[in-house]
Amino acid sequence: MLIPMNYQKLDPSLSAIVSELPQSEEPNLHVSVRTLAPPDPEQQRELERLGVYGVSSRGRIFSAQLSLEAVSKLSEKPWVRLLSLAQEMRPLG
Amino acid sequence: MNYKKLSAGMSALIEEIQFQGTAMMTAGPRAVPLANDDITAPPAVYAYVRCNPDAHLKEVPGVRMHAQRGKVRTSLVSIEGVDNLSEHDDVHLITPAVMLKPLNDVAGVRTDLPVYKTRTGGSGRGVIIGVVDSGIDALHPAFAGRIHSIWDQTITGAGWGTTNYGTVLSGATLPVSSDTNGHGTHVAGTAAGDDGQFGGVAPEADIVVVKTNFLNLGIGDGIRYVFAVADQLDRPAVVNLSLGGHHDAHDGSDDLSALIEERTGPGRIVAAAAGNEGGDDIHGMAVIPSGQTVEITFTVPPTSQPGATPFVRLNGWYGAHAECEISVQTSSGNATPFQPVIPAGPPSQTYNFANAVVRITTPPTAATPNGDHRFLVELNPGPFSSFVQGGAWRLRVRNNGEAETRVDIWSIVPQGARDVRFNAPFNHDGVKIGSPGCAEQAITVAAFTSRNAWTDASGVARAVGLPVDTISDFSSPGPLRNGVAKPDVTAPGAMIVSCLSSQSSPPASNVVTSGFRVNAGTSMACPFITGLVALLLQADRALATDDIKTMLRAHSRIPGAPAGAFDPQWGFGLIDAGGL
Repeated sequence: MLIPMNYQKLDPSLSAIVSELPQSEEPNLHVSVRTLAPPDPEQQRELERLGVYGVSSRGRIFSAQLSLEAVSKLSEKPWVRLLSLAQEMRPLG
Repeated sequence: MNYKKLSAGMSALIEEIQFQGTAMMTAGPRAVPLANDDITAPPAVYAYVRCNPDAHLKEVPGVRMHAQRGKVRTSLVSIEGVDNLSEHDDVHLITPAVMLKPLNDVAGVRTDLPVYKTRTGGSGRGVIIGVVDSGIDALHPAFAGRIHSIWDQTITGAGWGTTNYGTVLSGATLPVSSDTNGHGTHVAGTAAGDDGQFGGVAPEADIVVVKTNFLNLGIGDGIRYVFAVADQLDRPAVVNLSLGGHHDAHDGSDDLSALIEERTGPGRIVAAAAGNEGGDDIHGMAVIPSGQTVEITFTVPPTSQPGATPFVRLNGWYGAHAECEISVQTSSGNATPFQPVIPAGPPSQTYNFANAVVRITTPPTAATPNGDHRFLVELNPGPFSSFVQGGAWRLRVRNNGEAETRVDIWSIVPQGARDVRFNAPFNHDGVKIGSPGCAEQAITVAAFTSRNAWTDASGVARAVGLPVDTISDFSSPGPLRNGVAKPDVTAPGAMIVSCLSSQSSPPASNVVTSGFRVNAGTSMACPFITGLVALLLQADRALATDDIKTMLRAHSRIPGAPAGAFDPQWGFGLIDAGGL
């Protein structure tokens, strides 16, 4: 049974992968979390509880290592704009 | 003598000459060398003369001009010559030549950096240079005493701040982190190296290193780390990002670019490399009329040869108001159905063929940061191979909308695999600057070839087939997908001599001498600008990105083009640091 997920909040890379992952509480997804606005204190607590780093009232882009369940919960938050799977970059020399 | 037109060094020299006379000729080593050692002749010195570009100075007594045009000229002058030049209406400043350390060989001279440093005394002192890269050889003498810390994201540890990955090292523990790749050490050397043979642009800057995991998230966290250290120390800082990818929209809307926009400000600057895909057909583009279908062919490397790829990703984008369906035809002729946007639920469909597995993801526009449509095509090997089937594949895009639409696609393969190339007529030369080079608030740097030959440590002459004194053909061109002008500026990026990590194993042909190697890329050009930004921040710690871009633009030039001209490959041209 698919875990509940608002796929409209997931970038295509994350959408593609979550549908294939087994339901797990293991935080093994590197995800960028973009909020609609700088999070208020309650939203900050929620983000930190779910595994988001560097949370503050400054900025809207945060990095996280999330479980599938955490992705699901964040996707349902109205103040979360987008969840994006981390992508690998490479040196340019 | 009009002393207002003499630099402090020239004024001091004039006084010394007037006081000592020919006795100077037999004195010991000098910071300002004399040009002649004939004690029967008056002292003479080599000097820079800043003047109006069309000034006629050839006939000035006591002066031998080495150039008759340009606003910065070299010359040989006596005291009489200095006096005469100082009284000339077209002359602005006379500066004596001084002994300098070679600056990455040719690069610094080619950009007149020594002129700037002589005039200002700039060294980077008091400024933090952040290097988010493959690490650093902490024991290289060029960085002695100036590495503040290394956040090594690849070593298991308690992390930094609220992150829980990596380990922060400082002091005696710095060497626990290594740079086996060598890229970060080379980059750091160009920006901030200080040694007796070659020198970085800002040799007295302090260095904060992030050995990154190369995930865009780790890179963003690395920027935050550098700026947090700078906040703690109350110093201006500039972060160097000689890295990039093509997973984004190429318009600065991606998360890393957005983070750069959030975190930069007065005294908080990011410089990013433009990319090295100038000669690679990794960008496909098509304008599709309403109701039409295009077949964009692309070539996957053969599985039987080195460079075969274990996966291919096609990162596609088209406008918010368009309606497109996506299909893929394999090199064997198998084709997926046309897949529309899937408005709800999992937006991915997987298609299994005998020789390939194709997954197409077509979410709604809500799933992108810029509101445009994005689709993702993933090609994976079939059940009997480790590599994606080689040959000519087709990406088919059907425009069901009422107006024509433009579609852009970038191909992505793992490092070490050969590129997947779009075929004519859909291969497009521009729009190849991905994140973070496409960040509006990053200073994006293209590469210039200042040398193409060197002698390796064994004394063998080496060369590469890059034309000298022009834009490096590998330098990725802009503009951005939304038309925004990028890159910003060009700096020397080939062939650049800089610090060699003792933990790396480059080809012997690339080692110039003990502790130093050549390398090429926009990775090498970027730290040149990073170091230059450090010099600017040393003079004014409150400079913001737009201030610096304005300064750099005003002192950059595309050869043969009018002042202020922009080009998608050069940006506003090669930096002329002497004029800053």
